[in-house]
Amino acid sequence: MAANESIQEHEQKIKRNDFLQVVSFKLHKEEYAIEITKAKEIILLEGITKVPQMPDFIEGIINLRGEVIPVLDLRKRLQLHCTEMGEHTRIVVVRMGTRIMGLIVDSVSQVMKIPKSEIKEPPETIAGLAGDYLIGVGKVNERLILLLDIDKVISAGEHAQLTRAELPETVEVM
Amino acid sequence: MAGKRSGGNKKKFWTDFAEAMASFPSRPEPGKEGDKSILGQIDNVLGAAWEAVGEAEDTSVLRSLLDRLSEFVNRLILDEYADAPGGVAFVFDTGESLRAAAEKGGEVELVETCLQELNRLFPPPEFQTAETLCDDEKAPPLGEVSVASQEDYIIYSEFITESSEHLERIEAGALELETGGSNADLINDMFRCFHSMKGAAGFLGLTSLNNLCHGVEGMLDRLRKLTLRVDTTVVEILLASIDLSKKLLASLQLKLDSLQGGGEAGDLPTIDIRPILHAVDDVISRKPAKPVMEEEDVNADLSRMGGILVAEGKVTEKQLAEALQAQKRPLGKILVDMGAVSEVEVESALTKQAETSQKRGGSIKVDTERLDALLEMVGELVISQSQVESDPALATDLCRRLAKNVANMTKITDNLQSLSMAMRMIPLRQTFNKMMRLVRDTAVKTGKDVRLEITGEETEIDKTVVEQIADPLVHLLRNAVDHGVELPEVREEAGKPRQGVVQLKAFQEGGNVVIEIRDDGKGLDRDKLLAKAISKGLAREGENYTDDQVFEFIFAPGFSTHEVATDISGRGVGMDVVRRNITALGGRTDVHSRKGKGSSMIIRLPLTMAIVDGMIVEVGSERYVLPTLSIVESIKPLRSNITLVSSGRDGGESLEVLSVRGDLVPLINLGRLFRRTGAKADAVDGLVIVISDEGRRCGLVVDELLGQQQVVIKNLGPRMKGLVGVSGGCIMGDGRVGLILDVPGLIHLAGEKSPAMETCTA
Repeated sequence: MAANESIQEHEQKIKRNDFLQVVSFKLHKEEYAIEITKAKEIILLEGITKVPQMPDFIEGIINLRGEVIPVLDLRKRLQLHCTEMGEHTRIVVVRMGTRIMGLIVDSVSQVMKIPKSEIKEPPETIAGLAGDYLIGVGKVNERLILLLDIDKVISAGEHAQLTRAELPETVEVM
Repeated sequence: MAGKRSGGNKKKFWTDFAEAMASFPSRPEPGKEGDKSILGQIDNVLGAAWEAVGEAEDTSVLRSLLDRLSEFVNRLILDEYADAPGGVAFVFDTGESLRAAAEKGGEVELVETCLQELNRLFPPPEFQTAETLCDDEKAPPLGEVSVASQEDYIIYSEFITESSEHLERIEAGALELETGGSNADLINDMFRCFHSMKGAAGFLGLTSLNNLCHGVEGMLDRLRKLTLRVDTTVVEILLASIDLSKKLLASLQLKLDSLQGGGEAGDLPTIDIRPILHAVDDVISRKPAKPVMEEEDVNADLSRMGGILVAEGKVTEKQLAEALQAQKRPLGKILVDMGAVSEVEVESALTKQAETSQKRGGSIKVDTERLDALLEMVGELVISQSQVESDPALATDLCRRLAKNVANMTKITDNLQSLSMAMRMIPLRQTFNKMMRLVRDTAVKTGKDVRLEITGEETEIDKTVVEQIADPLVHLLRNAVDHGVELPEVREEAGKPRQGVVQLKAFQEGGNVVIEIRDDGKGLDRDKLLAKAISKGLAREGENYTDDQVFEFIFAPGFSTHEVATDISGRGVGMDVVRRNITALGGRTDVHSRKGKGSSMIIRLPLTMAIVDGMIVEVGSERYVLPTLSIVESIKPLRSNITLVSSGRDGGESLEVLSVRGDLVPLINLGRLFRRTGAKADAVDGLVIVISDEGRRCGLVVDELLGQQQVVIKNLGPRMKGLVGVSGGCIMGDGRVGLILDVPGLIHLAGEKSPAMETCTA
């Protein structure tokens, strides 16, 4: 009964307040989420082509209906423990302006609405490296969900990649 | 007369005429009679009717009426008649009665009355001379441009595009006239081009261009009516008028651009067209040539019934010529009377004639962006099709019907793909035709006598390639005329005909289009080239070089400067630029030459920029694509042929070198370069693929060759720029992304690792 009440309460909060609609996924044991407006689609993990001289967390490139998009391993990017890729592993395709990129996650959980009042600043204890990439921590039915600032994750990743890419005398690219 | 002679039979041309006149616009509301756009429509309808009626004795009255009417309408558009409303009403009256008459089966008397009436009410003006066209002392302005809206801008831009196309056709025609190809169709075509340009220019208020076209059109009309003969002056005038029109269009474009950029509206810069109009007057006022019976060129001229019959072997050329000589009645009838052909055969030839004339035109313009989007979609379709096709479930017995249907669909998608690829392909004709003018001008300037022979101009190639091939071609042709072909006197001394021949050939060879530029001039001077190469440090003294190796030096950067410039290239821009441009298009260049006999440049280009012919190689678990064009051979290396050399640098890796029939080729281990685990570490266990670029070679160590495939090139995006050894991505047959290896980059890398090998030429 208590759980029912809390759900009703939760829904009422959604009605009353602004909320954030997110898609949540698992990375290792933790639950993360990104804003649904950033996510374009979720696809199966297959057919990744490795690209040489790329940073470790760039898994490779895939063909998304004719468009070649890079795929980033979010677990490696956030320096989390890397579980083996399995049947639940997915690629979340995100859109940043005109650019599109794939993110490897351990599994996709659900799409949910989190009231803004339930989103707190990230606690100081995790405000280290991962903390930079967080918008906040959402609380839904006693579950804690880490809200990722995907733009920061990717742009910081690109920066790292650029510094890596300063290889000896690069050659002309078509 | 025509109606009477045909014995009541409804003449075919009347039907055609009625059909064309059906689109005669309806009378405008009162007060709007002066509307120029309706007059423009009428002019178009009259033009179409003129075409439809066709040339024959019994249509001459009708045709002259149409001529007069059209000219009258044009003058109305230009407001040359003060009582315009009366004139417009007359045009509508005449048009309507003609249409009614045509629908009833034709009435010659009416046509005659109309013509008389037109001449009585609105007497034909004297042919307008330069003085009447622009009687002011100063040169007339080009006209005023007012761009009120984006739509206006589009109208002007379209006008420029269309006019440029017309001018290209006219130019090609003028050059053909010059080489003696005088036939009525050609002149008619040029006349039409000028005529449409004139109309549009008048409509847009571009007085200068309108007047210019009008003047030249008058000259062409006389050529058409055979009261004037084609000679060099006529061709010169045509060419000069083309140049001037281009200039006018260019200044219009400039004005438009500045208007777009917020510039002020107003008059266009003044360009004096009077000299040309005077020249036209001079030509026309010469004693008119005696009208002669047109000598029909029937050889395989399939646009005419006579030509079709000759080509089919049903009449001889002699019979046809006799018939044409005696052509007072329809040609077909005469031939039947002569007993040469049966009526049925004439009938079928006429049908064919109609078909040929219908085939012309009928194209639409499509935005290239849309076309590219379509191509992309089709590419996707093909890939997802092949994914369905290779699905293991299809192979089971349960799916036999499905498999059959899928196979059927594959056929359709394949067709769809080649069709959509073909849409981006355009013939080289336009580009080649431009070269005629170039060769002519260069020859005149350098005092050479040169004939350009063009073959294969119908060869089609990707639009992007066509746009970018012009510059290299200009360079090569100019070279051929300027430095290849000798002066007439020199040629005579060498026992060659005074006139040099430059051939421009295009043909398809496998997946490539080959363009060859060949001259019969003096050829390249091997000794001079070699001396130059040695002084430039490109070649070593005392070494034996084959001719081809020596000729390769002309492509070296900075080679064609200074004193050799006068022998190989006239300008500071060298052959290296030509080669670079061609390479950028995915093509390659070769040169062959024989002293005293001439040289030939051979350009090989891919059919399309969107697809590359690739060899798939496996390295570890990854597959890479190697452009087939750059592969020399693949070798299973022997341990004894591999040597280890030091890089000559501190801390530098040592380098493996493979001896290939005496030549040393540096090796690059792709597995090591790309850090692929599972790749064969030792070249002896794998394969060496020898690749070459601009004469330099290197060997790639790979695990295996998987076969050849055409792959669709894809942009990897800015994130993946600057990869060593990878030039781009592509979608492979199974839908996965493949990486295309960067051949020049890899060779450069091999050279860098081994400074000693830098000069290792093929």
